[in-house]
Amino acid sequence: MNPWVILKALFLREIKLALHRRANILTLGYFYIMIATLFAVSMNGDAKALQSIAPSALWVSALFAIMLSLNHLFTDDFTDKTIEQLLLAPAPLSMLVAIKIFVQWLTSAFPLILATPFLGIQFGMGAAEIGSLLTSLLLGTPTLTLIGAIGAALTLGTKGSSILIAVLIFPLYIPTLIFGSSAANATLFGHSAEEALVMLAALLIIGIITIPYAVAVSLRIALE
Amino acid sequence: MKINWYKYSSPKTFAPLAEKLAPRFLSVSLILFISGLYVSFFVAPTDFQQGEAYRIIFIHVPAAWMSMFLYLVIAFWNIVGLALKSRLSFMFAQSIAPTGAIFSLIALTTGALWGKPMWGTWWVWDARLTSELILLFLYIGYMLLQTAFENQQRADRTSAIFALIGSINIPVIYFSVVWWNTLHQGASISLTHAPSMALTMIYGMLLVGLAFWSYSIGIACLRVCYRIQIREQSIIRLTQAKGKADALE
Repeated sequence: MNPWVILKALFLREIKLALHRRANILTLGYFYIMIATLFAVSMNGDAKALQSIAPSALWVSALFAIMLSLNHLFTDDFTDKTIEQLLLAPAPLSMLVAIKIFVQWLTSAFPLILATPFLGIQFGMGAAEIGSLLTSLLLGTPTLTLIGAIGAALTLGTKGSSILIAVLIFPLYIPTLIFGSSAANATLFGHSAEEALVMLAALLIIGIITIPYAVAVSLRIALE
Repeated sequence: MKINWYKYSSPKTFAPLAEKLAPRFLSVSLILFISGLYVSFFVAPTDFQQGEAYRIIFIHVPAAWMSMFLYLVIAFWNIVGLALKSRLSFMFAQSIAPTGAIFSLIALTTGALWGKPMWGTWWVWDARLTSELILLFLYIGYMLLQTAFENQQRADRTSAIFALIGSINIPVIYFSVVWWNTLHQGASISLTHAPSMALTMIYGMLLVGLAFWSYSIGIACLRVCYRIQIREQSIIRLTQAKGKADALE
């Protein structure tokens, strides 16, 4: 069978499943807004201080929300054995994994980005700052989902895995978080965000090339 | 003389060797450590800027070296383990991890103790401190992941993959923090110490470094022996249980 047919079928299946669970997508967006609100409330209404932490707070909130969404990436397929079908399918496992990760990003991180401008306004950010925050999130969150997929694949089948995923992937998230939040901060403090955005793009490209392969290796180990 | 190296790649033949090697490495480490401390306290000159308090670097610097070096050793043994499917390599890598974590903890705490009198602060988020802290997190993640599985083979290989990904990530983390520090260079503290260092200071650090190195090998050998015993016992228990179950049928 043509591998493209399989890839397309998997893409459609993943989208269909995600739409079936649309309550999850909304819950995740709601969770993101709640963490951001907690940041705002903890600043005790100091508008100036709130504005200065806004890019960092929104980046950390997005990171938390993305991390919490990872639990479902492979576990459902693992329990109903679909994942074994993926292993046997006549298409490279890394490509199949890449599709799953892309749909995961589309249904977990992308809605958060859509909600971000409203939170930005609440945090007192200007249009330029919101713009660079959105760009940094668009370039950075796919890397977060990719790295998270490694954590999800490594911990597949363990009990209490969501805490374990967090402990494993937080250190790996640091470079993305640094470049992402500093791109948004640069605009806030009147610097150019270009350099940080280029770094984010570089991380993303390296991630797209290498991580699906690493995830495929981890999945094979998990299913041996 | 031809040595059959593969002979020692099996846990059963390696255990007696490790048991023999461990006390030797540990005693060498003790001798080196004492001589290193002697050099650092009585031979090395007093620093004209930092006074006597600088002497903590004779622990701090070697501990930081070892914490990074041991992570590379772990990555190396994990690659060997994944490539050759040798259980012993994984066991060795896992036996090094606690020592590496302890050294990074020592590096962080001695760094804080050194920083307070010298620069007036316990902690700054500069590249070295942040990467060392992340290194500690990676060690802890690696050790936690080993305990998460009931299947030993899965635990070995999964944690090996994580250790490898971490080792790729460390330079990236270091680079990203350096980059962020050069970007927001405020009234930050430069941690680069006196440009010209007395040769005796370097000897002192090298001696302590070698002591730590020897200690790491010795203690890793002991841990490997312990691990081999534990795994053997669990296999014996399983076969006994299976024998009982068969007898009942």
